[in-house]
Amino acid sequence: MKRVLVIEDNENNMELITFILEAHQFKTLKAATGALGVELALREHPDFIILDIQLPDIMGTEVLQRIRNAETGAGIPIIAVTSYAMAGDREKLLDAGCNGYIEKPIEPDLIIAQIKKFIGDDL
Amino acid sequence: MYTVSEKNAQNFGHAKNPVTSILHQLNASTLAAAHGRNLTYLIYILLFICIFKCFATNAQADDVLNTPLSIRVGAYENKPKVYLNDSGEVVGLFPDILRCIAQKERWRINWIPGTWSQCLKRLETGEIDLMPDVAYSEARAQKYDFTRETMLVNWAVIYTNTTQTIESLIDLNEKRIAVMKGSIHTDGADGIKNMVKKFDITCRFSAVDSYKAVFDLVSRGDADAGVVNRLFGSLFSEIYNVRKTTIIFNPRHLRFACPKDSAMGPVLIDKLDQHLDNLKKEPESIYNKALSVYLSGLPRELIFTEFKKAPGDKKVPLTPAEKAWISAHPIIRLGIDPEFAPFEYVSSKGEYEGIASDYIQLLNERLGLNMQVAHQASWKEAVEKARNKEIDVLPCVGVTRERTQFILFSKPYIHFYRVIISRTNKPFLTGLRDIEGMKVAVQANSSHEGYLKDNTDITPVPYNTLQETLLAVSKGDADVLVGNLTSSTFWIRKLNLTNLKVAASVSQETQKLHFAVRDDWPELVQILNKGLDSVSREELNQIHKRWVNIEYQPGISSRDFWRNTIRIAGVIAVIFLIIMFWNYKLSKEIRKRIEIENKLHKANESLKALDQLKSMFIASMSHELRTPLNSIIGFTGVILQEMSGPLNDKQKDHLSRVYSSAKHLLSLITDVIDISKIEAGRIDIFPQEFFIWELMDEALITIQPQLNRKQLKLETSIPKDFVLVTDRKRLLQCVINYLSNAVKYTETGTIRVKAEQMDDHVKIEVSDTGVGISEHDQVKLFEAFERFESRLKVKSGGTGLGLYLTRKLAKEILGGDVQVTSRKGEGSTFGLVIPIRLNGIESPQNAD
Repeated sequence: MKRVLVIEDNENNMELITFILEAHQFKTLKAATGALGVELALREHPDFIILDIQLPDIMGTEVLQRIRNAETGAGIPIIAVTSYAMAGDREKLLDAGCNGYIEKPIEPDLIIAQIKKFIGDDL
Repeated sequence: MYTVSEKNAQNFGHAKNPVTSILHQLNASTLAAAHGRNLTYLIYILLFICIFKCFATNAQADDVLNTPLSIRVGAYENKPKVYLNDSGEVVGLFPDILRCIAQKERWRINWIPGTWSQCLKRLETGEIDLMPDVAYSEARAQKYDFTRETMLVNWAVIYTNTTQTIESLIDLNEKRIAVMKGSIHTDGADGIKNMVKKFDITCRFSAVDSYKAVFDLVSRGDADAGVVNRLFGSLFSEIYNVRKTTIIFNPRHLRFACPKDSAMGPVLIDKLDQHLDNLKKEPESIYNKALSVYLSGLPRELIFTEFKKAPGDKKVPLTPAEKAWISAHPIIRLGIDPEFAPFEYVSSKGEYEGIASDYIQLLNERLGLNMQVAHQASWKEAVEKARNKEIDVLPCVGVTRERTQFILFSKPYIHFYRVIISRTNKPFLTGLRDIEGMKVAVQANSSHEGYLKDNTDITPVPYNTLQETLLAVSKGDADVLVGNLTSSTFWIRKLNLTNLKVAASVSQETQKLHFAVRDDWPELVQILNKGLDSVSREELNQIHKRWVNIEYQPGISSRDFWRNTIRIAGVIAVIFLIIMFWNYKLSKEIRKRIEIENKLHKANESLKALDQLKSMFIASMSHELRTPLNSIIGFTGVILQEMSGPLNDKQKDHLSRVYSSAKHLLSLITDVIDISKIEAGRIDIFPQEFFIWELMDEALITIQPQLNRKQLKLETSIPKDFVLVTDRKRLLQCVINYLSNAVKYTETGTIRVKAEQMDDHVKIEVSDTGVGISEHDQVKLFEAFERFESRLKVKSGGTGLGLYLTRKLAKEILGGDVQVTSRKGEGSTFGLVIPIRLNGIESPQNAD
C-alpha cells in the first residue's frame, strides 16, 4: 500500500483529499503545518507528497525547497495544490522542483488521474 | 374708459411722424451724449426705432381714435419744485414744465395731491400714472420706471460765513457744521457725516430742524459751515449773507417716475424724454426759463413773459468791512489791453469798449465801486505797471504762473478757446505737438505766451499787439500763432486776412479770463467775486450777445472736428476697453479653469487609487469566498461519486444541482477576481510560446460535453504550424468564453472555429448559427452584466461577466481587441485579434 503525505492546513481540504486517496487504497500521513510536513517527509519518506502551497507557517515553495535540499527528500515526487489566485506562481513551483500541480477545486473523479499523470501509472 | 391700446394709439397718432421724430431725437441725443456713452446710446436708439416702428403701424390703423389721454399725477408740497400757490393751483418747476408738455401732447392732467410718502405709495400701487420730482436711485428703478432725462440735479452744498476761508473738504477739519436732521444730505449713505468719516475729518455737527435754521446758525457765526441743498442755497444765501463754497456732494437726479410696467408708462416716458431733450437745448424754452426763475427766486410770472433786462438796481449784500474798504478806495485804476477785442479794446473814438467794459460798468453800479481806465497805451506796459502797483486792476486776463506772483485773480467770467492759427496753405495740424520746431508768434505778455512757456518747449516769438502777431503769420514772418479764438477771429475779419485759418485747438478745455487785482488787495477780490455772482444768466447772455454776436464759422470747424475726433476716439477707447476687459476676463477664466483642472486631476488620481483599492478588496475578498466553496464542490463531488456509499436517484439529482450551482458560483467569483485584478493593475502577464492548434484543442475539449449535449456540428480551420507567443492561460480563457457563449445561444446548427494570420496579428473567430444580436444590443454587448433576451438568460446561466472579461483580457493583457458581427436570428461571429508576439516580450518559460 502506497503512502501519501498530505500537507494541508485547511481541515476540510485535508479530509477531502485523504478521503479520496484512502478510497483509492492509499495510506495517508497528515501534516497541518509546513514544518511538520517537512519533518514527516524526511522521517517517513512517503511515496509521494500532496502539498498545499498556502500554508500558515512557511510558504509552500519553502517547504518544497527544504524537502528537495535534504538527501532523503530529494527523490520524493511532490504534487502542489494551488489556488487559482496563485496562478502566477505555478511556473515558479515547477522550477522549484515540483512534479506537477493540481488546481482547486479538487474534483474527486479527476484527482487520481491527475496524480497518475505526474508520477506514473505504477502507483 | 378707454382701453390701453386706444390710449397708446391716439397718443402716437399725434406725433406727426414718429420715425422722423425719433431720427430727430437720435441726432439730438448723439450730440448730447457723453463720448463714452455713445455706443450705449446708439443701441438704445436702434431699439427705440424698432419699438416705435411697431407702434407707428398701430397708430396709423387707429388714427381715428383721437381722444385726450388722461393722466393722474401726484403732487406734494416742496417749493419750488412742486407746490400749491395762493389760488390753489399746483405749480412749480415740475408742474409748469409738465403742463407745457401735456398741452402739446393733448394730455389731460388730474392732480392727485398728498404727502410725499402717500404719493410714492400710490405710484407703487398704480393709483397714479406719473409722479414728478422723484430722485433716481438703483433701488427705486427696481420699483418704478423713470424718465431717462433728468429734470434737475439737486445736490448738497456747503455754505460758510464771510469770515471763514473754507474752500475744500479738508478745511472742514475741527469745524462746527450745521445740518438738517434726517436729511439725506446729513445721514444718507453719501451724506456729509459719512463723507467726512471717509476722509478722516473730524467735525462737530449741530443738527437743526430746517435749512433756514442751518443758514441762521452759519450767518450768526454759531456754526462755521452749513449743509443745505443747492436749491435752498441759491434762493436764500443772499438773505442770510452766507457764502457758497466749492464743496458740493451727493448729487440726486430728480426725474419723473411711472408705476413699474404700467401700460401708459412707456408712452409717457418716451414723450417726456423727447420733449425734455428738446426743451433743454432751446435757451428760451419754458424749461430753461422755469429753471432760472425758480432757482433764482424770481416771481413765477416771469416764466410766462418775455425776459426784460434784469433790474439794474439789484443789490449785492456787502459786509460792513467790505463797505468800509470800498469807501477807503474811491478810485480803482484799471490797466487795459487796447487791442483785446472783443473782450476789451479802445474804439476809434478813444472809448473803452468790449465785454469787460460792460462788466465794469455793471459792477461799478452794483458794488458802488469806481473802477476807471488809468492806462490804455499798450498791454505790455499795462502789465508792467500792474507789477509795480501803478495800476490796481487788470480787468480781463488769463491766469499764468508768472502773473500769480504779483496778482490775485477773481472768479473767471469770460470763457474762450485757445487755438492755433496758420496760413490756409499750411498742412493739417492736430495740436501743439505739431508746431514744435515751427516759428510760433504770440502776443507779448499774453496768457498764451505764458501758457506756451509753462507747458511746452516752444520758444514763442513775441509781438506787441495781436494785429501785429496775425500780420506776421499772414506775411510769412512766422509759421503759426497761438491765441484766443474770439479775438483772433475778430481781428482776422477786421484786417481781412483771408489767408489765415484756425488750424487746431490747443486743448478741449476753455480758457478763462478773470479780473486781476494787485496782490495786497485781497478784499477787492472778495468784493468783485460777489459782484460777479450777482450777474444773472440773462445779463451775462445779453452782454456776450452784444460783443460776440457773430458766431465764428471757419472752413473747417476745428471745434466740431475735435469734438468728433474725441467722440470717435471715445468710441474706440470704449471698444478697446471692452476688448481689454474681455481679455482680462478670459485670462482670469483660463486661470480658473487650470486651477479646476488641477483639482480635477488630483481628484481623479485619488479616485483611481480608491478604485484600485476597491478592486484589491474584491480580489482578496473573492479569494476568501473560494476556500469554503472549494470544500462544498469537493465533498459534493465525493458523495456524487458514491465513494461514501450509494445514493438513490432523487438524491443524486438534487446533489447534482448543488454541485453545478456551486461550480457556477465559483466561476462567477473567478471572473470577478480576474476583472478586479486587471482593474487594480495587479494581474501578471506570462507570455509563452505555443502552437495555436494545441490551445484550440484544449478549449474545444473543455466545451465538448456541452457541444455533444446539444448535438451541434463543429467545423474548425486552424493552421497546424502556427506559433504564438502570448499569455496562454488568458487566451484560452477568452476562446473558451467565446465557445461556451456560442454553444449557449445556439439550439441547432454549426459552430465554426477559425484562426488565421493577419500580418503580425492573429485573428481567431467563433461563429454560430444561434439567436444573433440586434445592432442596438451589440453596443452594450461587452459591458458588465449585459445579457439579452430574458428568455435565454434563465436558460443560459452565464455569469454576465464573460464578454466583459474577454474584452478586458484581450485589450489589457493580450494587447488586442474584440470584434462582433451579428444579425438578429442569423447567428453571430465573435472575433479576437491579438499580436502574434505579445509586446515583444520573450517568454521566460517554456511550458513542458
